[in-house]
Amino acid sequence: MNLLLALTFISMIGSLYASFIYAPTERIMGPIQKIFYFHMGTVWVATISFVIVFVASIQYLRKESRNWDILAYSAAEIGVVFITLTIVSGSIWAKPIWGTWWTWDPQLTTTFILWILYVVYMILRSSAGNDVRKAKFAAVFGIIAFLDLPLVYISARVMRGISPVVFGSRGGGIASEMMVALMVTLVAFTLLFILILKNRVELEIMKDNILRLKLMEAK
Amino acid sequence: MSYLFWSQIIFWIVLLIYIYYLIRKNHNLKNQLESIESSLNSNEESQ
Repeated sequence: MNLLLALTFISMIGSLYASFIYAPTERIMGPIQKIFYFHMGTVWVATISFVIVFVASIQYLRKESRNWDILAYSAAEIGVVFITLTIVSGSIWAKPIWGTWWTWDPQLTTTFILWILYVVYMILRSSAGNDVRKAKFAAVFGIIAFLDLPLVYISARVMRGISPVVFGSRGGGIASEMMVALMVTLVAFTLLFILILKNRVELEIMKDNILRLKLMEAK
Repeated sequence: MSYLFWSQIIFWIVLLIYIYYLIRKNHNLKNQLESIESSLNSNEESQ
């Protein structure tokens, strides 16, 4: 645990250094382009989180094990926090580049829908409490919500929008130093995600233990 | 450049608020767990 915390801290410092000092300043956008690295980090964590919600929800419905339910709920919470940061950092980038905080571009719209879907999932799952039927309903919703995730990626590439496509056939790619900074950032955010998820799962297990002990106490 | 600095500040504030929320929750749950365990132990001793 302490090793993971230390690794996360060191990699975050490395990410800040790589993004703000090592990576060159982009010619057209200037320093504001540097938001891109942390923006991609938040996108990455949100994506992993929602993939975990999807897989864990399927497993929960198949095996009816509370552990999968805990994993799905914990990952969803982290996903919501990081997709919120994605939207906020994207808006901060958009203001000087596009001249507006927000536009109903296909990628932004599908991302906003994704945010709403997982907020609804969180509400459904937290209100379900220990009711297994409601928890299963939330799991079904978690599976359906995931269908929007590929749309976010496809929308920028297939539909006509103003969101920049860096990677892919339409993308311009990035300089090698920028790629190094991006990779360091993704590693740092992956470690941060593992650290938070581990703690979040432990919290849910602790809540279950408290409930079990309260029942024992009441008997 | 100051715009970039403030964008980073916002990012870290949101992230730190979330981490603080998790730490507080952990602290509260640990306290609850300890109080229930001690009350269960005292019940067992009295029986």
